[in-house]
Amino acid sequence: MIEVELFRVSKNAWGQETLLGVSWDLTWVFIGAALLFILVHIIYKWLLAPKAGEPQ
Amino acid sequence: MNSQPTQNTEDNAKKVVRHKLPDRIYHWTMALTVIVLLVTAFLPIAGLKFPWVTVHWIAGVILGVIVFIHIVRALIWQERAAMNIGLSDIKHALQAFKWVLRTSKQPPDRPGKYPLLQKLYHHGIAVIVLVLIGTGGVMLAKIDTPFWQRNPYMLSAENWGYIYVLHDLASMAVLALLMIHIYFAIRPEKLWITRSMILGWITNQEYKDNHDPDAWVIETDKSK
Repeated sequence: MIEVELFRVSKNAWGQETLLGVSWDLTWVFIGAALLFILVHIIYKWLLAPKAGEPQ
Repeated sequence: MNSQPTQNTEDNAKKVVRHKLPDRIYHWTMALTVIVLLVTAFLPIAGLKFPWVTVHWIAGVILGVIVFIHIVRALIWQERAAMNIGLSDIKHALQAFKWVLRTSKQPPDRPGKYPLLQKLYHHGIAVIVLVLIGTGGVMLAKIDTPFWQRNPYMLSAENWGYIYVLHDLASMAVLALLMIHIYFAIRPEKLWITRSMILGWITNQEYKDNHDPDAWVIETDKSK
């Protein structure tokens, strides 16, 4: 199972965690979501979408 | 909404202005700055090391300036109602939903200048870009420029973390939305819209096929 860290953190000299930002691994989640949306839309337009003027 | 092929050469010859020159200059300047910002943000993360900070903050400042000009222009000189989401948009969305599910034989009514999905995209990316500009503006305090000295202690480490989280999330969202935007821009049935963002105009036939003339009353100005 793939684990995705949500945040980037650093530890200071006393071991306290400081928030640095969002994990860069999440970039692939956003890219994947966009590609999935595009793929679903292509399949929908190709197979399912009603064509303008088509007989119902 | 597909553009219907037509033999009506007169309607194809007549042009309707969809995007005026200042709006097209804004769009493509924004596109260029956003691409520069994404490249200078994500390529170093991907391992391609180069001095990205200066290019990144300058592109960010340019983006902030043109977005400010766009907001002023939209609020004062442009027809704000064209971008408002109203009851007619909800009605069109319900009609489209029924048509897509084939529970209605009637295609959805034509929209005004902008269909609901374009309005939603615009408003969504507007919020995200404003978050980027706001957080990026605060982050300028962390770098030396010819105009000011860096002051990384302006915020606590914890608050800097929140600023970075917002900036990171918004930049990833812009990357995803840009991919979807380009996908729709190059779809064959949408090329007439893409052309209008390059050349400014659509044909009168495209106007009639894709827009409700009562909801988008065209100007008599036929300049390109």
